[in-house]
Amino acid sequence: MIIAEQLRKNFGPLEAVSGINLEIPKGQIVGLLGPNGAGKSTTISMISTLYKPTSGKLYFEGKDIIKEPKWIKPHLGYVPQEIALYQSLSGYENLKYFGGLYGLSGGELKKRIEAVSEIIGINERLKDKVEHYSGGMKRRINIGVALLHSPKLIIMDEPTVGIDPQSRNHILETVKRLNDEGMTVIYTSHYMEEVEAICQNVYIMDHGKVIASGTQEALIDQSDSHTAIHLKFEGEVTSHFDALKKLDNVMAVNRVSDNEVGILASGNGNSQKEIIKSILAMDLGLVSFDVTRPNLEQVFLKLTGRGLRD
Amino acid sequence: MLLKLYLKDVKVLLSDKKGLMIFILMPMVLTTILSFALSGSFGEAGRMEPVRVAIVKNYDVAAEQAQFMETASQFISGEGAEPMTLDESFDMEKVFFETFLGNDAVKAILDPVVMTAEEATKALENDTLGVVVTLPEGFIYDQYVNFILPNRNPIDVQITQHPDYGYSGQIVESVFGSYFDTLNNRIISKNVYLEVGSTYLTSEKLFASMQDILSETENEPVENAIVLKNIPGKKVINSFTYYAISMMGMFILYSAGYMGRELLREKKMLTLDRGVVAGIHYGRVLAGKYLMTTTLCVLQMSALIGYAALILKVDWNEPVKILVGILFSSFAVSGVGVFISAITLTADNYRVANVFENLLIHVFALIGGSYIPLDVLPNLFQTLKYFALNGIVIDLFLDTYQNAAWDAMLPEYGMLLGIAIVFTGLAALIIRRKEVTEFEGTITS
Repeated sequence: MIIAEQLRKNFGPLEAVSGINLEIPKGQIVGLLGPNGAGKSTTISMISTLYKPTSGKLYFEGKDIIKEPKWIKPHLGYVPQEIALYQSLSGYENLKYFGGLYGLSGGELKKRIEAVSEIIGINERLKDKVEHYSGGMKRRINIGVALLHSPKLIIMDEPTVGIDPQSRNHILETVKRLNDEGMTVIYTSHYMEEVEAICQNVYIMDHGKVIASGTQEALIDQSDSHTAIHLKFEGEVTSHFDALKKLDNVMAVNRVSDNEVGILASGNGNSQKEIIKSILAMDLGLVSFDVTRPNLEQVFLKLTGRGLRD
Repeated sequence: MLLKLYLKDVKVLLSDKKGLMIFILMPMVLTTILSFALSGSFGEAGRMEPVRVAIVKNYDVAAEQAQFMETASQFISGEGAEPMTLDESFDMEKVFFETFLGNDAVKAILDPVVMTAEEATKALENDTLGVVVTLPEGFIYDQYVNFILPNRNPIDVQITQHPDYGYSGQIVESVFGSYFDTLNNRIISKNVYLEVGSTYLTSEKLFASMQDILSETENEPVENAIVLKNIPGKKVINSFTYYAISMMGMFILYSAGYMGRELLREKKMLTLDRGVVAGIHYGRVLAGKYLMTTTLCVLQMSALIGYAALILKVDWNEPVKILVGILFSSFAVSGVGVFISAITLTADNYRVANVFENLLIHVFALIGGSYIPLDVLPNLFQTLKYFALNGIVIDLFLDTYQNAAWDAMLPEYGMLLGIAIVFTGLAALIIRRKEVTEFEGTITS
């Protein structure tokens, strides 16, 4: 559905995106992973036709949308990172206005508002002003606005930032439901577990480049010679970071919580044993450890040397 | 599509109750306070020199003197007297112009100049003098009759004043009233009668009629009338009128300030981006905002004009001219508003809008005459006011209030339209450039 070839974007001297290639198949949920400044938002801004690429090619259903952005606009739903709504208007008024921008009107618009408000689960408070909504409800309306014109492709730029777990689950369920109905989704997030939960394909970006891509399984298989070790300590862990990083076979260390860290280790089972022995010998107050197959977080850690939210 | 953008902007505007209160109620409050506080200084602030008065003579001295002689001869002909002649020392015109107007005390107050009716009207229109006194036909004849004969003829003197010289008209009315009061004074009548009568009558005849004349004078004072009028069609501008107009001129600038923030606000809220993704160009967003600002201005001005009419009893008339004035002013304000908005969006910060609201509006208020009438400021301000939008609006509405003709207001209409076109055009160019640089990423984001 979307093909990007050698897509590049410069802002003055700053190269925000450095010649990336993407292929977003129809009917998939594709995750764009990367830390702040990785180039995710710039990439989706180019697909959304907000920015013109400095160079490269960008196609939607085979049509060049750099030359003719009009090919994608009617089929694209865009959910910005921030709440892009008129706070002093009601949810209904926002939906009505943005639906109108896509040419919906009259009974058709009313039907779509009813359908979308049902999808996002907010129909009871639709007449309230957005400024009186909770963070989760604002996020849901923010998504709803992008669904009014039944787009083929929806781009969601970190749609779950700063909301409660219940609203996050609702949004993730909504995304899966939309995908089940045939909608293609590009989903960017800081939260690895969200991407793991809903995305079939993943692009990992860092410093403006795609550093890995594929299905979750394929990405994890790339790290098959590595192991994730989850460590729990008695006290705060930050002060142990330097010591842990110096151990043999430790590739990266990331903080999981105040007293938990994750280690990406290379080598076979013996090397893992050596790491555990060394940590016990250091007497850092280790309470428990758990050796697992790497997940996306560890894949990212291996590729970039840092955690997603570091 | 433009209608959808406009309606959304109006809804957002109306949902901001606090902002609307400031836009609509604040000018009403300030108008009321300033009107009452400065009501005493209106009319002819700062004018201390003698009032320049045009005297228009609608009579023929020689003809009226001859007419009087004929009347007087008929009056006394039955008694076989000799034909009458007037003593040069008793010339009513000399009495009026030399004895009365030439008096030092009067000269300190009035500066009379004899003019034709046309010259006087032109001078009044051009604001080169403040008052015109029209002496009616029969002015000389009637005075002779009133002094010499037992008859009493009313004399109607008309005083026409320029509205900007409110006090001057009252002063002239008062001075001329004193003159006629004096004429009515029966002691002077008696003295004049004796002085004049002794020239023409025998003592017996003179004193035989004295009692009748005195009693008649006492019982039936001459009904000399002085009618104070303004220039036809022009009205006095009092403090309520002035401040209703001047506050209106100033507060519509805040509409431009409000508009000045709008595009960047939408950009920061990402609603502008959302519109762009939907296929909306910046130009259309700008057009919607322009119409919204026009609506806000119309609301503001209509509310203040209505308030001034109902509460402050300002007598607006010419509703069509008022409406046209509101529209032209609103177009100009909206033009300035979208221009500020375009610059603010390009700068990506609110500095320009802040400077406009917190500094420039007050400078414009001063040089445009919103705080203080420009008459009391140095002449320089009469020129500077044309650099302030509110100054032009104030001029237009003062003219409108005074029923100026359409063609007399063309310069103001032209300037407002020019401002609207130039600033809207500049805004459109800036916004187009911004849209292109934003899309192409030729600026650092």
